[in-house]
Amino acid sequence: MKVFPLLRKSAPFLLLGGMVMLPLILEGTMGKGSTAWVVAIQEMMLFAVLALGLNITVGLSGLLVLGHAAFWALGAYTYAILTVVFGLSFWLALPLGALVAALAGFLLGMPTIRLRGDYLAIVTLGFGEVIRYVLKNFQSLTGGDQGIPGIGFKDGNLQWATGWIREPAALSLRRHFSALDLSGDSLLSKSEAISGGLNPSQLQGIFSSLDTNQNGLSAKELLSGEWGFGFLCPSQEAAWLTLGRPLEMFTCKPFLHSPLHWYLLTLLFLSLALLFFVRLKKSRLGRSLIALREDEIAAKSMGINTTKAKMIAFALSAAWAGAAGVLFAARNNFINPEFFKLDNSVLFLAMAVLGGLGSARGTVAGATILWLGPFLLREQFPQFQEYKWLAIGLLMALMMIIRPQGIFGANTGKTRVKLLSLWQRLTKGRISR
Amino acid sequence: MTPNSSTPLLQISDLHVRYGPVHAVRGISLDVYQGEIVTVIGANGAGKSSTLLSIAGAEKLSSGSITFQGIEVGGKKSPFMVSRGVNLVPEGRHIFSRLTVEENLEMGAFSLKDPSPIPARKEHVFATFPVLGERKDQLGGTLSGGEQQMLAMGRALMVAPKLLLLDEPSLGLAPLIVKTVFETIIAFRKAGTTILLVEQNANMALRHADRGYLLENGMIVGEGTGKELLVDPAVREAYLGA
Amino acid sequence: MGTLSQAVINGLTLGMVYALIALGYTMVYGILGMINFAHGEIYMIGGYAGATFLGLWGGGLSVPIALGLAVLFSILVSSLHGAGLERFAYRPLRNAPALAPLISAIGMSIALQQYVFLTQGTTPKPFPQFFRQDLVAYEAGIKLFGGTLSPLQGLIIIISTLLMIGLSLFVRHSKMGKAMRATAEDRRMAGLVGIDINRVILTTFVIGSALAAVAGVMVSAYISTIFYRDGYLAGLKAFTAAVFGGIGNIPGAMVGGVLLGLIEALGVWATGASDWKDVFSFGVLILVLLFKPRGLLGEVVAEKV
Repeated sequence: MKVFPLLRKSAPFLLLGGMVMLPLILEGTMGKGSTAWVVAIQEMMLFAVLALGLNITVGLSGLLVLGHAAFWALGAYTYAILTVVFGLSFWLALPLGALVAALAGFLLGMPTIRLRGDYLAIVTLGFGEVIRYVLKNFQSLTGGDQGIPGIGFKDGNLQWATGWIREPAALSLRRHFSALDLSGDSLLSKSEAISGGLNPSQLQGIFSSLDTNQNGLSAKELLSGEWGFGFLCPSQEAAWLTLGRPLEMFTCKPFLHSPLHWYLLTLLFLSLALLFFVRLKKSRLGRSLIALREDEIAAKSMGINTTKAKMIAFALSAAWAGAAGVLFAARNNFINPEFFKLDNSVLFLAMAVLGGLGSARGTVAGATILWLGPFLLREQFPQFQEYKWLAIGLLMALMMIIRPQGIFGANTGKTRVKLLSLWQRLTKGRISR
Repeated sequence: MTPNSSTPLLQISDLHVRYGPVHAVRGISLDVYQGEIVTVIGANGAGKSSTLLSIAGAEKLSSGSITFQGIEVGGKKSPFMVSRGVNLVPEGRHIFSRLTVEENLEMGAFSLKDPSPIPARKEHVFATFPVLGERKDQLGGTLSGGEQQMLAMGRALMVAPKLLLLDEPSLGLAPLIVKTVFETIIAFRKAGTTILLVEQNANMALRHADRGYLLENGMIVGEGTGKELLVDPAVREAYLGA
Repeated sequence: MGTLSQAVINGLTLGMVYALIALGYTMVYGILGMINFAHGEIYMIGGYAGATFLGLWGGGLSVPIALGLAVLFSILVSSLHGAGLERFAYRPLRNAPALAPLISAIGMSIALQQYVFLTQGTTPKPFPQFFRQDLVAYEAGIKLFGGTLSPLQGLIIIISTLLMIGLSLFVRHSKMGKAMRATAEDRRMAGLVGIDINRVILTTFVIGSALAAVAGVMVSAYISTIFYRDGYLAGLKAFTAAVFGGIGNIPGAMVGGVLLGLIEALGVWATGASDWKDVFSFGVLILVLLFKPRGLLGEVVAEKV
């Protein structure tokens, strides 16, 4: 019995350890099919960060925000523009993207946050639209509908110019290279690279900027880290060897841009976000937010500066979305306004609602269900894709009616609501009490 | 002790009302006979309003039974109760401030399927409260507190209720107006309406009531005729400040 | 870019439509204190219903009769959807914390959109040309100060005006209209005097949906197509109009709608930047909230303190 509290305390660490091991387990059981899963889980974790950020406003403070994707977009475009134009590094852009988004949240919140909650919903909805219009129409800076390609992960002085390479391509290229003398000077010609699955336009940029050799790349050059290509990333087993030497993990150039790199980076990011959320919830600010969500008048009379608390919550939420945007832009290598549609704002909201407003593990559960669920169903039933949004919409409404506190939601809703049984809710529309 | 030995107009037995963890009414039983004025007195939070609200169908009862004219009506909704002739004038009057005085009265008659008696009843209300007739096109919100109380009572009269439930009709009114309100209540009774009155102003209430119940912490702790209670030393100490 | 008077005519036409949709928002808000996010979808469904009716059954009928029946049909379809929304998605949440009905409404908005998408397909549905060609013929229009009022524009303005007058009279003088006002003001007391609250609220949704359906048919005839995504932007604009006029306030929604339509059209006329048309209306929303949060004719919207 004494094991139990110990287990409880160590559960987060065990879980984290499990998540770190997961890609290895997946590769062990599924072989090369595991990469798709590693990618999907990485995306799920990124969305979980966004949903967690949204949960600061919607869940903790009871402020309905329908333009969360706009803050995400601001972070993504901040990084994309800064890194493409000025060559800013990812690590510098991360706080900067968060800052830009937080600032936007602050400016938007100032006039509206004191108004009724549902006004904020509409204003943020409109804000999301306006941001998208600006991104579409401010072509000189944002590339309009075409977006910004070739963003990559820029770390320090090195520009990592490629994005994802599909697994079959990566495999065939790996095979190709294993036939070469990796230590030697044999060249990979353009046509070989293309037949291996590389995007010709990507290659064009790489080849033309290499002043040493216009005709091909040497394997040595590739491996020396001057160019970190996805297809040159070590297999996941090899990456695990580098895990034993953590310092090398993120400096191992070929490792960067592998799905595993992004997986681990996002896992780290999510862990920080979870830690932040849990600490925030228990902090003075967090408790003020919960108090004002439950009863704003009472909160005010207890001396809580509700406007200030709401503004901070709003800015913090936007900041996490902005940072997630930076990560997304770097990983996806390409962004355009389509990624930041209202659909995704609603998706984040659905994740937060499904798991439980105000609950950290609920949010992760919501993200898991709503991201990996469709991913799984897509494989089994290809036609499910069409019904995904219908299902999400209905689920949101149903969740509010049956279990407004979400799957993991703590006792956060007003007591009255929780006490009313499902039966009464479905059979009778009661007059207000 | 009862002035009328036939079956009561309203009979409540073992009524319980809970709001979540709060147990507001804990097993109240009381009877109201045709033509009586019965008052329930008690301190704030004793469960008086909850009792009235659950009789009027605006509050769910947790258990117990309410019979009106011999028929079980516990758990029925307000529109049903109004159509049966049970009407509540709630604490704080709650007149529709953005409707005119006349529209307020029409809303009182909403549940009538047949609109033919409405004009006559309006005239009756205007005759009872002349000030309402003078101000019939004025918005309800522009009336004074006393006038609003009259409007609230007039609104209830539009359906010619058999049983009128009055919740704190004298609350916040000047003494002179309070007197008028009680005179009106007497007049209602003369016209054939039975009255169940909840009051904090125990002195006034007991003086005008045929019978009274004392409510404490959701339970009935005493009952008697108005006069008996008025001279009861315990009542005098607790509610009459003497 | 046409003349000033053309901009005014176009703006007025659009503004009338915004006003019709805004009424649905404002009435529901007045009575339940919630934003019915799915209202734009009700409008869109009305447009689909009208176009579908004409495509299926309009063939043998004369144009005015076919259009009239199409409007009635779309009113029926939209009202059923609006009533279903109230009954199944909002009524169970009537006493829940404020966020719950809003989230339910957003979910229903998405679900309705998708359900139209799944049943009606991925391409915009054309409004049968035969029934609109005479109405949109500018040659048949009236010349006004250098602009042209097409027959359809005239019709939109006249029908909208009549509907708004009708609604005002209904709310002011009918028994149900008075009950709606009473319920909006004090729902609990309305129940106590014997008003059937559920019926009043359902009626409110039906009326709002019917107005949106008429708007949907008129707009799809006006712009020649209807698409499952159309409801969202129209809803956002109409909500802006409702806030502009003062949400919960029926004359406010009318004034707000017309003004918003005019501001948009004149903004585009003055700047020539038609790409930014939607940004104008959002700018209006922000400015209104900044400087006159209760709207032009409305009451206090800031949280009670």
